Amino acid sequence: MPNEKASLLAGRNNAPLTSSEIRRASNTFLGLDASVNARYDPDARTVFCVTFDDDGHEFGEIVFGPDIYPGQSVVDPNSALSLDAAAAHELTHYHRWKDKTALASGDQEHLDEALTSLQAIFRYHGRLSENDVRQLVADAMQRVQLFVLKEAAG
Amino acid sequence: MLAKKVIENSATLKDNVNRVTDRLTARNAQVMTLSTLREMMKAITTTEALDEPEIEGLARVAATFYDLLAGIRPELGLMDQPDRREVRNRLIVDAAVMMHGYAALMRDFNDAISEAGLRRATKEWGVKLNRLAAHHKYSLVNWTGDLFEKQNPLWQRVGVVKPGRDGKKLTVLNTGAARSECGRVLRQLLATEGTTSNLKFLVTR
Repeated sequence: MPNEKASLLAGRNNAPLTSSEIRRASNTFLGLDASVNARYDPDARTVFCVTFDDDGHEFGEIVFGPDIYPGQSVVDPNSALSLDAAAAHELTHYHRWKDKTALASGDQEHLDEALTSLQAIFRYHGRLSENDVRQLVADAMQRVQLFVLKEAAG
Repeated sequence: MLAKKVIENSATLKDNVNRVTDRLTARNAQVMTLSTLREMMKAITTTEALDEPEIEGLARVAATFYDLLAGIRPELGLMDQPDRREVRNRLIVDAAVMMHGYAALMRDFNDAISEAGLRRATKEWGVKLNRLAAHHKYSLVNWTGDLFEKQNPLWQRVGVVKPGRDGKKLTVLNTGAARSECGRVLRQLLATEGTTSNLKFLVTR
């Protein structure tokens, strides 16, 4: 099951977004995958969550915050993920939830994030730049390392 | 490129945009020219530097909006030549100048999608745009009718139509000022709460 914790790590942008930056991000989500609802919340950290519509039907949506844009760090792969790569990652969370392939949150959280970044490459291949693809691979590697470190710490 | 993607994404604009000429004549049944659509798209983009997912996203926003609007105003969809001519004679709903008014609404729709997501925004705007439906009767002074009638005195008051040389037939203007007024009128009308029918509040610029 997907969790509702922020899926992007700390270190990304936290400055408030202008209306044109918000529109840009929203249109990027739509351009990559119009089947997924994505909306902006200035106070939120970007997250995929499961919610209900007015008719009581369950649906998955992405709530994105200012951290949908990359941060300043050049050594942290997650911080450096571009807008397009981060959007592809979040959209893949939706599909993993819908396909019931998402791993349980908790111990396997970082592993799920790593698999999500890798799957995003396949799902949105052709619409992501080579740089976005490399960033998603680097992000997956970082998440696997975090998983291993957490396992080792017991 | 953006305008062509809008056409690809829209059920009502497919085969309904004239790509050959920059000016529609009585013989053209299409709703607009490609250059009008391009200008509409310029009005909703803040930068020229759009990457591919953004272009695709923006095209979907524009196409979703246009199809939603055409569901409420079928005159914006495909029509045969005699019907198109009749619409052009009587209404300004498909006039090039009004397309710029729709572009202003499109921008608001884009903001609504950012706030609520495509799913909710489309539902909300489906209701909102109903105020532009032909069955919704508006009034101003001694006139009552469809908002988009050329005879609606509002359009003369705000400089979108003017009497022709014969003093009778109304001519539709497509100046920068007229385009802005179309946007202002439509945005202000849609921003009102409840069931407004008197258009007096839209006369003041």
